Amino acid sequence: MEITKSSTISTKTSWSLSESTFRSFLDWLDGDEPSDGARYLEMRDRLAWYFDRKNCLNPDDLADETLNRVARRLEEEGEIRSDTPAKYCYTVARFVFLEYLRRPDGKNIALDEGPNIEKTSYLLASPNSDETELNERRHRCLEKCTDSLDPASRNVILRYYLGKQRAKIDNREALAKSLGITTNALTIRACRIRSKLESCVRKCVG
Amino acid sequence: MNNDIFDKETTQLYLLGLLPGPQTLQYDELSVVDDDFNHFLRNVENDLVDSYINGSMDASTLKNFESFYLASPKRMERVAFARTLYRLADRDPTSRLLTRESLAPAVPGFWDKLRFVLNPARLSVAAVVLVCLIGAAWFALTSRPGPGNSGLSKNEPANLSSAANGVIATELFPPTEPPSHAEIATPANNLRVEKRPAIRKEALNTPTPEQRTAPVVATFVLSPPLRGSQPKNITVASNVERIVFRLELEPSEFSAYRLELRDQSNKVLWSSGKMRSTGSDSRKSLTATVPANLLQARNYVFSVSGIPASGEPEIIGDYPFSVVR
Repeated sequence: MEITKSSTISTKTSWSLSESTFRSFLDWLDGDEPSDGARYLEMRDRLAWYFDRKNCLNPDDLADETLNRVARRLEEEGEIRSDTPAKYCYTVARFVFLEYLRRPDGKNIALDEGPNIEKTSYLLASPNSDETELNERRHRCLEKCTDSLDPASRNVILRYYLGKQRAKIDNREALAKSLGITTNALTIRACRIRSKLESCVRKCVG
Repeated sequence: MNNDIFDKETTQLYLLGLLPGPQTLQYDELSVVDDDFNHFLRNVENDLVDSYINGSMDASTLKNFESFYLASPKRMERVAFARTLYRLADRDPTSRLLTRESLAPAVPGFWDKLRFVLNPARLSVAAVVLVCLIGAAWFALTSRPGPGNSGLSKNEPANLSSAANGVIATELFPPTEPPSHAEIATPANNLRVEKRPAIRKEALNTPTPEQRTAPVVATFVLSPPLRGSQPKNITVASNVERIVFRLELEPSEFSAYRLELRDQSNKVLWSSGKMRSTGSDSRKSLTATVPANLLQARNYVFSVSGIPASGEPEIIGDYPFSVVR
């Protein structure tokens, strides 16, 4: 997995993260189980969704800000032993959120257009041609992302979301049976594939 | 994923912003720190989004979903993604075929049929029926008056015997239409050939998830009001779920704006975040999407504020309108 610090770690202060510190930060997040950066991406995703559930306007930026601060602290202290990495990240995220609330733009919920309107692509259904085009683009991206999955995962995700109501339930039971797993295990598997696809589509749509 | 520890209903309330503060804090922390809960949360969220797309959400949840969950572009994107995923799965020919096969009821093979025929209970019933028929036939023959107390042509017993056999045959092998050429191939193909047209017909008649659940959206353009003019009437049909307002702006220096929707008592019903206008300098406009159920048959006003690079936002215009339902 390739992770570049330039894309995610940026700071509003003059402090910048060196390559070696970033590597130490990734190792610290991984703990005893090296993940080749997967843990970092997972944590960033969780933090972004945490800020999003708080209706922050720029959840991804705030997630970066949080990880940035943690990395900085790690560099300054050499080690952080007071909490598990995830708990420590959450504690810092809480502070970042409270600071956000004190900012002038932090008190309003963006119900419609946020500052990154050019980058967002969230419109659901509406008559104008831009949105139709966006839906088509999203569909093409999803096809592309689905094609890039291994055949087994592709089969699971497409069959999992096929059908309606009772037919869908029967379909899922049959699918689980054909895979030799429980429906609960199938749900977990489908959920993971869906997350992967969602992330792929988000990058593709831009 | 431990479904026993985490409660789906409460987690759903958390996702809809309905949990009390302390519990929300607890869930916030779990969502970042606990791997199991994080997976569970994603799963509940997927189900929530799916139920919205499939139109199976109850009215109260739908209201909260639209007012809270859809308040975030990132979450709206998640809904749009899910909608696309369903559409793709629905259109994918491979998954449809696989599913038809996996959903088809088990097709009885030769041994299944033989077992069905040789079932002891069925055989005993058939034997009783056979004995009764032979007895009845014997009685009919012996009681018929005629020469030599028989009155019977030579071929009559044979005919009755055939009739009796016919009854038994019907019991064991229900009459079927002659098999078509395709049906003869294998027993498994048999049922598939019969089933496919029905499934295909269903697929053609059933709307796709997109058709079934796409929210009904009404769009209105509000121009800057002239002095002393009446509020613009907008007619909102009962099936409209979302209203898109496009507010045409007077030329101004601002690069960012904020919108507030107020009712007659000046209460703020809805407010946007920081917005950017679209269009050229001379024809700038702002677009806002609000849930239709927010608006009753009353007068409302959109207040537009310009946000300077520094300093407080400044109100630059009001757009009154009247809702007709």
